[in-house]
Amino acid sequence: MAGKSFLVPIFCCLLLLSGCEKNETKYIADNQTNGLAVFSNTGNNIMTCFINGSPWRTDNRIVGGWGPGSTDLSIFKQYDSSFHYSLVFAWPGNLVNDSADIYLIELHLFVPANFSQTSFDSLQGKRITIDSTTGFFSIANYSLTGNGTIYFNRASYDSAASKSGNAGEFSGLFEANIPGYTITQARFDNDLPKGSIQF
Amino acid sequence: MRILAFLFAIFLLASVDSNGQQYIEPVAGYRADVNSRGVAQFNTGIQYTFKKNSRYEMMVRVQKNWPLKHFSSDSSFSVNPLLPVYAPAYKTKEVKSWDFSFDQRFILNPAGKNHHFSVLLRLGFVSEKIDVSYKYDKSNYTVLNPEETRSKFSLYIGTGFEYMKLIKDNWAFIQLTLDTPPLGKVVSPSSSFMAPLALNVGYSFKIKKMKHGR
Repeated sequence: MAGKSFLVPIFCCLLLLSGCEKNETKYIADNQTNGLAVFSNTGNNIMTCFINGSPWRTDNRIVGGWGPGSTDLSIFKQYDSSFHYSLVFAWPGNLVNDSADIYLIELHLFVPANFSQTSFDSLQGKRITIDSTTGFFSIANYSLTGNGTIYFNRASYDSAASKSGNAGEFSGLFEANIPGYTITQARFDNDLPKGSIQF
Repeated sequence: MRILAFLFAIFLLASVDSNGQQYIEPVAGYRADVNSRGVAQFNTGIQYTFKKNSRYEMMVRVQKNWPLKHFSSDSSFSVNPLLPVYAPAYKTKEVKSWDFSFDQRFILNPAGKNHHFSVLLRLGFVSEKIDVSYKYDKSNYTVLNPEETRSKFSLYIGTGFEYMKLIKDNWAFIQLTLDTPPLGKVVSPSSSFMAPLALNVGYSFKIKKMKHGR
C-alpha cells in the first residue's frame, strides 16, 4: 500500500487539471463604435451589436472544467409551426449595462427540407434580406419577431475535418427591426467546433 | 524586466573608463518594418561612444524616428441592400517612435588601420505610437479586421553589422541593424508593433584626442 502512495498526488494533480476552464472568447474593442467588438473573421467567438443604441454582447465561450460551460452560438435546424424548415442561429447574451434583459437573439432562416451540413458553405458571401419569405429575426425570450438583413462573410463547415478542434468558421454582419427593438451594427465571428452542426 | 535592463545599463556605464577615447556620432537612416510590408520611417539620432579597448566600445544612443505615411486599403462590408456588399476602406498608417539604448560594438578586425567591421548589440527602451485612420462610408459599411491606433513603451533588443572607414581624422560608418518590436504580449496581428530593419550612415567625431585612437 505504501508503495502506491505516489499515486495520490498524481491523481490530485489530474483532478485539478481536469477542472481547468478555458475562455475561448476574445473581445477586441472597436474604437470606432464605442461598446462593440471589432468585426473580425479570425475566430474571436463573439457577437456584439446595439439594441436601441445600447451595446449587447454574447456570453463567453467557456469550455473544459467541471461546470457545464457556456456557448456564444448554437446552430440547428428545426421544423416550425408555420411548416417551414428553418436553420436557426441562436446567440445567448446580455445587454452590457443591464444583465436582466434581452438574453437570446435568434435568426430563423428558411431552408429546403434537404438542407444539410454540406449545404452550409453555400451561405458564404451571401447577403440575404430577411422578411416573411426568407425567415425572421427574434428576441426569443420576448417571442418578438421582425425583419432585417444579414451578410455571411464566412460560412464553412467540414464535418470530416481531421483536426479535433475547429471544423468551420462563421462570421458576418446583420441588422434587424423587431417591434420595439432596433438591432444595429451586429457583427459575429465564431469558430465552429467539430460536432457543432448536427443536421 | 525594465528594472533589470536599467540596472544592466548602469552596470555598463559604471564600467566606462573616463580616460578612454570618446566619440560623438550623429546617425541617420531609413527603417522598414519586417512585420508589415510598406511601413517605414526616417531616423535621426546621436550616440556617445566610450572606447573600452581595441575590440570593444560602448555607446549610449538617442534616436527619433520620423513617420512616413503608408497608404493601403482594407475590406469593408455593408448589410444595406441598396449598396454593394463590398467596398474598400482606405487606410493611412503612420508609426512615430523614439528610442534610447545602450549599444555595444564588437570590432572584428581591430588591426585594420583604415577600416573596421563590427557586430552591434543593442538593448534599450522604445516608445512607439501607430496612428491608423480609415476613410470609408462609416454610416453604411463596417471594416473587417480593422487595425487599431495603439501605443507602447517597452524594452527592445537588437543586433546589427557595421562597416567603418577612416576619412581624414574621423570615421564614417554604415550599419545594417534589426531590432525587435517593443517586448510584451501581442493580442492579435492587428495589435503588433514595428520590428525595424534599418540602414544607417553616420560619422564618428573624436571628443578626446588620445594618442591611440581606433
